Amino acid sequence: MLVRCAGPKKVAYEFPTAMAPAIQAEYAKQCDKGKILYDINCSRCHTTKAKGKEIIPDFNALQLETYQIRITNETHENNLTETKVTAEELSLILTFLAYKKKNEVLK
Amino acid sequence: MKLKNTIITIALLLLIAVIFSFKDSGKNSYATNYFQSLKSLSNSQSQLLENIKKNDFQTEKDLEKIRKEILNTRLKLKGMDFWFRYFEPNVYKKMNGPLPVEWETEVFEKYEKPYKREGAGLSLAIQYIDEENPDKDTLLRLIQSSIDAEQTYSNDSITVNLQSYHHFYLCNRLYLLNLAAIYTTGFECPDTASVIPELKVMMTEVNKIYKSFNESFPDASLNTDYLILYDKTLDFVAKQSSNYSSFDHFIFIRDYINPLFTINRDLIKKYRVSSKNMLDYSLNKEATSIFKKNLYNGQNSKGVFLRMEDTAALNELERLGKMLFYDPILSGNNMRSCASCHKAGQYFTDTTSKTSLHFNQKDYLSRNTPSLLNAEYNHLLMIDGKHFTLQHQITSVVSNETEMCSSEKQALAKVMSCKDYKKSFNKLLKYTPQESEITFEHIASAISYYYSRFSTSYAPFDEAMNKTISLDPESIRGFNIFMSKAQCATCHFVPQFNGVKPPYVGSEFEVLGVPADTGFKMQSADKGRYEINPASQTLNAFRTGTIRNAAYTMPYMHNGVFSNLMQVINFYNNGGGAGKGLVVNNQTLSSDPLGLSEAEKQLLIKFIMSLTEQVKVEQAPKYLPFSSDKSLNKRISGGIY
Ligand code: HEC
Ligand code: HEC
Ligand code: HEC
Repeated sequence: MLVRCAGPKKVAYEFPTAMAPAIQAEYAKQCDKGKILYDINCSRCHTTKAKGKEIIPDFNALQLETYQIRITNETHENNLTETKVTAEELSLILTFLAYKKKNEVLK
Repeated sequence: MKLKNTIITIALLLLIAVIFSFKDSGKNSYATNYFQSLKSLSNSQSQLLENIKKNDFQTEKDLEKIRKEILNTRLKLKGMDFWFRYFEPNVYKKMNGPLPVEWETEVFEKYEKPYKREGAGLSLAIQYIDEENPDKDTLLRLIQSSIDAEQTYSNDSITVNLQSYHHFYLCNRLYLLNLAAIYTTGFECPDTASVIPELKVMMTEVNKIYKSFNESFPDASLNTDYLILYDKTLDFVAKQSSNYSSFDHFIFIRDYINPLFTINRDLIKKYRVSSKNMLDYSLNKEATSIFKKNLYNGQNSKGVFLRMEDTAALNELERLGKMLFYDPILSGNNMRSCASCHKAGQYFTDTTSKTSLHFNQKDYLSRNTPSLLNAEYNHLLMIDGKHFTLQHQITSVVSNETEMCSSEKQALAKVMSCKDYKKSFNKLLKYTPQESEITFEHIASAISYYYSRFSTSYAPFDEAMNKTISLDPESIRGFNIFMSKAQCATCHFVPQFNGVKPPYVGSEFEVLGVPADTGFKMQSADKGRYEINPASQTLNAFRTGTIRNAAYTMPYMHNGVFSNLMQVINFYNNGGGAGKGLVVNNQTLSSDPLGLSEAEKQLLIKFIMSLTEQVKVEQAPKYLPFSSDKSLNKRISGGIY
């Protein structure tokens, strides 16, 4: 099931089919927030832009460990501190990254 | 000719070999030091285990022998504390845990359920052997567990750190913070006579670590300023008494440890040290002194406005926060505000009654109102640690039936019915693009931002530690008692004097056996932490609050049972509730009397007075924003009860 979301570039989400529609809608809302927070906190380093198109990387579940992400590398250690992004926000971002449609080029 | 050439060649080769072997040993000496110390500790622990097995445990002499051996092995352990505590603090609890069971929620995991950590090792072993009829198997288990834990430290995932300099400066930062906070207080050293002797050994061992580090990492070495000061520190400690109550904790921290911390911090910046360890999560690389409020991050007082840096916008947030703090519109009957219980002129607490008035205006609440000053330096909020964030706390108090008795939805609607609030918040909405409209979170964030501004002040004690003023000798003596004989510092940790100890990622809860009334007929019925995390160890456990400003935040304890500091100190001096004969399960405060003299008690109070911060007092706003709902415009700034 794909849900369209708001924002400058539309991102589609992929939820497990077993997930009830009401819960999907709830997650979609969180993903929308997560996308905006991703744009603020992460995209400058992670989104590849070319000719008006954008690619947000597909991280795997292992890489999306909430607590670890702040210190996975030196750049993160300096940029993803508690004073820049809260734990709640990080978890929204990671929800977004986990459910966004894979292999997608945004136009 | 040929011979000469050969000789030259051989000589050259030898020279190269020598150079290389030097280089090689330099490269490895740091790691070698680590592995050798580990080996020596390991041998010592195994030997201890064997000797306990062989011992009959019959006479006092038998026990004394084991006791000595445990203490000796502890010295080896202390030599590695520098690394162990940083690399794997949870495993370290199996080697040097102060308590058999601890419940934890760490800052980066606070959204998960608290988890149980079992302690073991040499600290508990020494405690255990002093109990009546210690049994051999228990002792063996405590030691075996330490031996098992020790294996972790030779795992590649840990030893790989030794190949670069980064971890070293972070280990050292933690070491210095602990020198200020726990190593001189007997925190993990139940045998108080060993505190300073162990400290001396540890500090000397660390000096060896420094030397080997500098050999291995000449390009990122500790500078001479640091090494000279560290040598002076060793001299100072060597000349100090071995009795921790005569040790000059104040001078030790002010003239040695804090300046070392400052140099280490500069080196962290200079060498662009980066962390791969969760333990560094809260610490702030910008802090130039242990006694600066930016030492660790604490709570996020800006809430959803976290990334807002613009001064004009921040001033606007503060203005809104102030009005809201005093605005009874947040309560169900428009008659109560935060200031009803947290009074600006009374250090943001209510000093007039044990517990504040209930919403119903008849009853009283069951808990004393804590000060809001330095609330943000708690890892968990509320006396039982119920809340994770300041904003969450506000949402909860506003809807609490006994306090403000409104709801998020109702309060938001009423606030937004006022033109000033509505217009101003809408202007700030652009700072939170993830939100499409103003929510209660925005309101809560303005309030927490406002009152947290008052926690930025310093006390004379901080200024003395930062050497901008000198402190009177009595406060200094009081501090030295606080750090030693009175045992206060084993729970109220330097520098915030709350239950958050280095590396500042968790709050501690303790069972003191606080009585229901000063007649000590029974223990307070409040279950404390048990309400949030039911377990036998959390029953009647309360979060260790700060004693900053405590000279003015009476009455004290979760139920406000004590009305002055002397009563509090007497309570501790008598060994808490259990010391007064109450049946307290699992009291974590020692029930032995402290034996403080009247003069010593007065000195403690003097010290607590020196922790009074120069907090500015603001008047309540005269007018509150007009609402489109006329009935709301009769409300009075600050509320009426
Ligand atoms: C200042 C630049 C910067 C910012 C901002 C940034 N990252 Fe990274 N991120 C990096 C670098 C550099 C790497 C390592 C890339 C590599 O090794 O290829 C990385 C790696 C990652 C990885 C892979 C980690 C792994 O285990 O291999 C994830 C996931 C990630 N980032 C997520 C995020 C998220 C989520 C945010 C925003 C909250 C973010 N990053 C913000 C620079 C950044
Ligand atoms: C009726 C009195 C009352 C009112 C009104 C009140 N509080 Fe409190 N506050 C308390 C009490 C009592 C506690 C401790 C409760 C506990 O620990 O269970 C507390 C605890 C707190 C704490 C936690 C402090 C700490 O050390 O963890 C904060 C922060 C706080 N209040 C802020 C506020 C704010 C902001 C408002 C207004 C929105 C407010 N309070 C309104 C009585 C009140
Ligand atoms: C075993 C740990 C422990 C020790 C030791 C300890 N405290 Fe406490 N202290 C606490 C806890 C926990 C509380 C909160 C108790 C409560 O709310 O019921 C507290 C509360 C206080 C308060 C009241 C704070 C307030 O605003 O209500 C003061 C003052 C205080 N302690 C001073 C001291 C002094 C002085 C000493 C040394 C004589 C000391 N403490 C030793 C754990 C400890």
